[in-house]
Amino acid sequence: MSMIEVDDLRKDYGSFRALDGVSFKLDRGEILGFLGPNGAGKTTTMKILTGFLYPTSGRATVAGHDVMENSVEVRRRIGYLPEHTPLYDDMTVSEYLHTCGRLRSMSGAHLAERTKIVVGLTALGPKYRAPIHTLSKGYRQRVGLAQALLHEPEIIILDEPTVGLDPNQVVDVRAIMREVGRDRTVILCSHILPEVEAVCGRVIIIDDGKIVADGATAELGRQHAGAAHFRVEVVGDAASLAVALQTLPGNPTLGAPHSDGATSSITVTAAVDPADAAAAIIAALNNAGLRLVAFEPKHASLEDVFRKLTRRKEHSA
Amino acid sequence: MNTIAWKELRSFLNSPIAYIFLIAFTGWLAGSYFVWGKVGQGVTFFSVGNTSLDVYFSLVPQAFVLLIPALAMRLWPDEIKSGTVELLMTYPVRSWEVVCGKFLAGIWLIALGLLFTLPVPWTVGAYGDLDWGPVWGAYIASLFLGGAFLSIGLFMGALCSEQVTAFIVTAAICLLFVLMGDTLINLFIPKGLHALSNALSFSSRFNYLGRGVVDVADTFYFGSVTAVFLMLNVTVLETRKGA
Repeated sequence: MSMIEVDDLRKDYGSFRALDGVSFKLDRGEILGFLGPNGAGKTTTMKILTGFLYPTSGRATVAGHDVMENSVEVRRRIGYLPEHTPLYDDMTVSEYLHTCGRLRSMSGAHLAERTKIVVGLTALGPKYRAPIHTLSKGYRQRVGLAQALLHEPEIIILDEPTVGLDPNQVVDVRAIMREVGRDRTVILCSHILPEVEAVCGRVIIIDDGKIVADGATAELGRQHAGAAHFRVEVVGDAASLAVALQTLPGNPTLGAPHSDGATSSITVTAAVDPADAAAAIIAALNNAGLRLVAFEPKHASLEDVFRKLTRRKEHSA
Repeated sequence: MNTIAWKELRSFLNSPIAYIFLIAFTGWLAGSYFVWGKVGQGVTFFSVGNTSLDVYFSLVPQAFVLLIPALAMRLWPDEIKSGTVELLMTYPVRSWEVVCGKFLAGIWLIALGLLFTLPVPWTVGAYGDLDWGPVWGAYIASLFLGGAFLSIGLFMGALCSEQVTAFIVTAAICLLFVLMGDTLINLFIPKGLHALSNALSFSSRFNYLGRGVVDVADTFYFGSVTAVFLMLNVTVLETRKGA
């Protein structure tokens, strides 16, 4: 059974359609990167999964419980770090975690033990007795994480957990995500692509309320590459390199050739199968008698896929 | 529910509002009664010249009209503004538990305020024979009245999401409920509605309750007003999920 099943979810805010038929399934142990530009519907989806908002239509279940009919059962199983990490600023970390535990019906030795574990995991020890309003952004984020992990939830939903953190803190938070994601289902909402590439096994890209890509992180780049990119470097001047590649089949796009003393390089983008394109390029260089120095295929990164799938029409001001 | 009540009480006590409320409420009642007299009438304990506390307890509604909206106005708007409402509503607690928890915290604070005014009847009791029956009746009535005001304030906070607006609207509604049934106000409304205005009036019911006659109908009235506004509050929360 899937941990999360989302079926044809729609959400309207007035006349604005925030989600337009979103469907996906998520199994235990998957770490999903939920990507999309700002306003694409990421946070709305998370708010529906956590029972904070009801969908306009469609169905979502978490561990078999419907998010509308059995909201409390759903919320019991989820640990949620909302966007912007809201916290009760007037409490100390220890009071806050205690309150969160009590709200989840935890108490006594069990709560004390779990608190100790999450405080250790998120390295909150030095600030345990500090009032939350005195904490830095990084520590606030850790308190939010600790709160989300306190009750050993089966599902953890983190909305932009590393926004505003310094690079060291980002590394720490990612390590925590990987650690907890080993035996749990994690959804990480983000538009920080390297983060998703580093942590998530699977990616969903959402744009304008619709899912535009869904697959293994490594697969996505290959699927959506669409064109073959190569960087070619030869011994000789830039002009002869450009001339040699002009007769390539399929009318590829050539970048501006760049000369660097004895060698020259150029980028080639061909809208054909990468293997065919590579063979054609090498044949053309042989015919022209140019000696190859470097030949690098450039795979589309997640960033390229993201940009390609979510680029919208530029609005003129 | 108790966890939420504790959380709210804690945050009350961490902010100046709880202390302002307690001091202002005690000061208003004791000050008006002993020193400067009731607003608009100028009667004090000394000018009345007996040990009936009627004048004293008639101060309670006017103090509540101003002070309870101030107490209630932060309960929801603070959470909505800081986004913690999203945490609270995604914990496995039901909306009514959250609403009742917040209400309970306010009631505790109002009860504490009433407790602080006990020295006044003690002092009066020291001057002469004081019938404590009506005094306790009036305290119970005050708590019920406070509960009704608090539930209105809580609801308005959830509806307006903004402190100042919630305060003004709540104070206006509470004032209306208090003034209804007043002979002066009745001059301005059609005769046919007088019975309704008298029936809805907080003051007349409060006065009956305060005379030591704990009338089931009056208690029930305050209880139902409170329940209605608490339910409306839950409805606002639930409706917002679908919005």
